[in-house]
Amino acid sequence: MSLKLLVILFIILSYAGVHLIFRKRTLGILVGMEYLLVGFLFSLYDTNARLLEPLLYAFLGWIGLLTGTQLKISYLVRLEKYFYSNVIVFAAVKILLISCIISFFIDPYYAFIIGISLSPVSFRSVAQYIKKDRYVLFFTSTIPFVTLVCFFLFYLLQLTVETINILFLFIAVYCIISRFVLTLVNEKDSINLILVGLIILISQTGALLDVSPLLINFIVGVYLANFCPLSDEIFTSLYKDEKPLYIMFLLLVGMLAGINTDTAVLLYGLLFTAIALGATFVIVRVARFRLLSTPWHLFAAPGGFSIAVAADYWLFRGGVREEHWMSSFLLCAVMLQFISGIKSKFYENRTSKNSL
Amino acid sequence: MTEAKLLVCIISREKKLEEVLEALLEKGYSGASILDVRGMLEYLADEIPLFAGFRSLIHTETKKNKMILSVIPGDAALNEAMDIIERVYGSFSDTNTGIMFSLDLSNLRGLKF
Repeated sequence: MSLKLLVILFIILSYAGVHLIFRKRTLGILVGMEYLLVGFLFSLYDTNARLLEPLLYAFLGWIGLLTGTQLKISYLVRLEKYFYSNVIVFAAVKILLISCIISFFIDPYYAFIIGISLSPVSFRSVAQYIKKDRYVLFFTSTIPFVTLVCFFLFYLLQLTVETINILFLFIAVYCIISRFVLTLVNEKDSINLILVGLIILISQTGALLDVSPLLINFIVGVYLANFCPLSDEIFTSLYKDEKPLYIMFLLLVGMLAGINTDTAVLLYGLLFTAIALGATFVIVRVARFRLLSTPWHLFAAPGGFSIAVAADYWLFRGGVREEHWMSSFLLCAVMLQFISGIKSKFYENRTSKNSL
Repeated sequence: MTEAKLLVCIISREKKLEEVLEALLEKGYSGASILDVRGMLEYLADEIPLFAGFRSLIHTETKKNKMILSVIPGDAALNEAMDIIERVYGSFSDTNTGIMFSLDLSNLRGLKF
């Protein structure tokens, strides 16, 4: 079968698959990562895909802003101190454990970014099976914030003093501009267009200065959540079309990053998967963090947020197509999602039989 | 069939609940039950988020419609109670603000007027 036919077939399948993958509560095993694979198919064409990079910056900006707008101080103070210490230690231990072991095999910088990227846990994967345990759900939903803080610190270490100054100046200016622009909104319906404009403006000017769109939009999002009178409307506007935007984001990552077909990439992908599974098992079963009653494999699913962190760093390092570490990471992320999904299905079947 | 009516009032602005109850109490309507309820569309839209897990958890804990159930002695009192609620809460004519109606009651026990 020719490659063109294969791509067309996958597009049709993905179109039909939207309903199955995102049907309410019953999810596909890969939680939408199928679209990453469709993106890889596009990447097989020898096109100038780099022209699409500005789009990826915008999507990363959207994810950053959406994550940031959740962080209202009034919400955070409702949770207990021990909860935060548990989340921070969990994320830190997971990052350190995974990155330290991986650094025996690849460059420590890349090992660390893979560790950071694998630290979040897919909220959707966990919430599908754990519906009543509020501690576990809050725990899972808070990890991405810790991941972003670690990513920010790691990111700062790689910048010159001059770039750090520009970064903070940039953040301050865009926080003020965003709030000013959003206070000019007369009708709440027009907020979508303004947000699109802001995301593109912040992400693209960030790209010119080599500043992470994910991080800068995250910080602007936190500022808007706490200091903008329209913070609830902003969040709703960013959140309501989450699924189609997520599909497009995965397609873009697949198309732009491509996948390297070297045997070494496959072996490293398998190795990273084994390391991530082992580290998650040890952390949940040995260190516990009050998660012992939850199946450990649920915490191995990295979800779309981890793809976003890795894609952001990949762009920062020049966005070289089919780069070894990125290909191995993407393979690892899909495999972790798949393994976690399969094990969760078994867990669901077992628990439903026991309850009968 | 008794003269008594059941007043059913569902409000979406939870902050106004206390004011509404105080206003009813001032006029002597001291018996009411309050329930947490969810609208049909709200329930159907309650999907598991991809990136917004934290906020959706906070939201489900805080955002609840409130239902006031109160047995009112007769038509005149019912109209007065409805007017009080509308005066304090605001008009129900706007969409998604709430709904208010009454039902005739029969076989009422446990309540004397």
